[in-house]
Amino acid sequence: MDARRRAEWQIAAWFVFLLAFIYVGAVTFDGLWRNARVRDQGPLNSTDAAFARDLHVENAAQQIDRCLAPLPDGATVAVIYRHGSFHTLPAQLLCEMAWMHGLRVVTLTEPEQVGREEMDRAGATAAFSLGTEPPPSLAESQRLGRLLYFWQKADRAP
Amino acid sequence: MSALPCLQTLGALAVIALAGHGALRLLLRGEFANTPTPERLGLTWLLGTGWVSLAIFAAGWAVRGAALIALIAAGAALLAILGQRVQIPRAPTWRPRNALEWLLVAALGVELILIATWSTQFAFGWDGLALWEAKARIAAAHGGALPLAYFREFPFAWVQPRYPLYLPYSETWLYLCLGRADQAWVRIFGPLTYAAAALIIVGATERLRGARTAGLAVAVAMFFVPYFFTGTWHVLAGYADFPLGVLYLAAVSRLPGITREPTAAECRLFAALSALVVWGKQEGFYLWLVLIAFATLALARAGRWRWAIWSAAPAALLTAAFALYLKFVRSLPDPFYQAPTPANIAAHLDRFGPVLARLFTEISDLESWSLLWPGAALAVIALAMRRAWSPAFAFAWALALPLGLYVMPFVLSALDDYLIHAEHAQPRLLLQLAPTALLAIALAIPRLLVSHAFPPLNAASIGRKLRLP
Repeated sequence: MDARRRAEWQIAAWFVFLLAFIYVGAVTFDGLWRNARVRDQGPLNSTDAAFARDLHVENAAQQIDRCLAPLPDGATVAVIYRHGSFHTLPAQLLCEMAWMHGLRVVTLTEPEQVGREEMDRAGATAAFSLGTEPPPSLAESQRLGRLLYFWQKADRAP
Repeated sequence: MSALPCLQTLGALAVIALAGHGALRLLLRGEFANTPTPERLGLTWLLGTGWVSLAIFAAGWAVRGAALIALIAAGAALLAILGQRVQIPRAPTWRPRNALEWLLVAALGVELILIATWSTQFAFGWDGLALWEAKARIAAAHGGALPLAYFREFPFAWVQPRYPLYLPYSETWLYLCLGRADQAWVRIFGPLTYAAAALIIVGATERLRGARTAGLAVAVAMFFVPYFFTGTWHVLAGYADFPLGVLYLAAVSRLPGITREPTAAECRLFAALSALVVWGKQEGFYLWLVLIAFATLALARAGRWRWAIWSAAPAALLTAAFALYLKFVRSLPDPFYQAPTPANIAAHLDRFGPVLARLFTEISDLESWSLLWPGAALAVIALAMRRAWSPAFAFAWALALPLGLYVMPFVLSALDDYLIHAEHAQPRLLLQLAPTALLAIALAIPRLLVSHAFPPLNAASIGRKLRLP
């Protein structure tokens, strides 16, 4: 077989390979629509999408910002969540947002054990609690969404 | 949509393009004309983003805000002016040569439009948001550079403060130009990086004496690697793995040239690209070891020891500078991996088998990768059977060695269940090699015609050898 003929056969084989490649790839392409979607083109739309998906909170970035803005510089905020659950990403985002406001952040990862004593020990004057309901000791928390609550020490409340 | 953010984004991209174009001309000089236009465009994006991220890292501690923007833009303009002063032979105009190539270019265009549309709809993934984009947001809020406290005081060690800053500081550049963090605009990085990968595959295939049509066909087929769009770490999710994969692709595409007929220009560009591989992500350091070991062997064989040293120098300097920086800021240790000491490796020898088995399962997962990995293996065999030794060796080396090295992170995993860690994180490591695997497939498809729009590799056709600085 001369070189040209051989090259033609190889090209034909690779052509079939590429068709198979595209076919196999296209079959699972509908997985594309499982990706998390943004709801608008706002400046924090990915953050909002993460909170909406994991904690059912609408307009989360703005709501959280409204909670954090009145807190004095250097105040301590506790983020109460169950580590390793799907609450971990929003907890991490909450830490970042609080830290960017110049606040100190502590994480408490056993929600059922969080009482006022733990909050005082951590020096926390505000707390975000992730879950179906806040710890009993923070019962007067403000509900930001189905799975997110914000609590602020009474003497700090605006 | 208001016009101002559009103009600011265009301004940010223009500075990246100016810097990248100027740097590419300065690095390649006479061989610029030998590089097909699509590859030049892809390299312009990589070098331009490399410039802005490195400039922010180098100057951000001293200059902030508008002054930093002005400094980076002035640097880009200077690079463009210096690049324009280099005498370069006129390059042949690149355009599709027949109906099939026109069809493939149109298909690639449609794919890129679809990807750009999806990028406005999909949210960033976990690390894309909490690790990479958050760094850009925090840096932008502090005038351009991450505050030192971020590296040692941050409440979540998971933010990986030790990771290099190519992607976060490229995004910071956009945020500085916009005057605010904006997760909607910053998603343009995904489609642009994907476009750079496709263009480099098209151009590098042609430059390395492959069939141009094959390069175009593989660039079109890249869209059908399911993991690129359906996986957890997909190319629009804001992770650094795909950008690192594109940087690695660009650097690997220079290896066959270095093996066959090394020139100073080829070594200069290789040195710059391999430094960006280190700057792309932590794993980039291991990919760089793979690259530099191959380049050193090839250059030593050609008796070019000085060039080998020059090729390794930028990445080595950058690695040392960043390590010193992390030491200076007293960065927190990585919570996910144990140090690669002989004692730690010996203690976890039993993990090698299960992690290798997990890697094999991942590679053979057609739902994630289609026929990419069997295709890459076939491509290397086909290249060797055609006696195209330099690309065959280069791609076998560049694909097989990292796969071997990528067992180690999970052998040294600090998490309770190292296999769950591997299951979760191994695909993103493969994402770093996927663009290179595609180029191997493109090169394996033979050409029918011998004539070539671009002269064969390197400066011999230009008639002069260039010296390293």
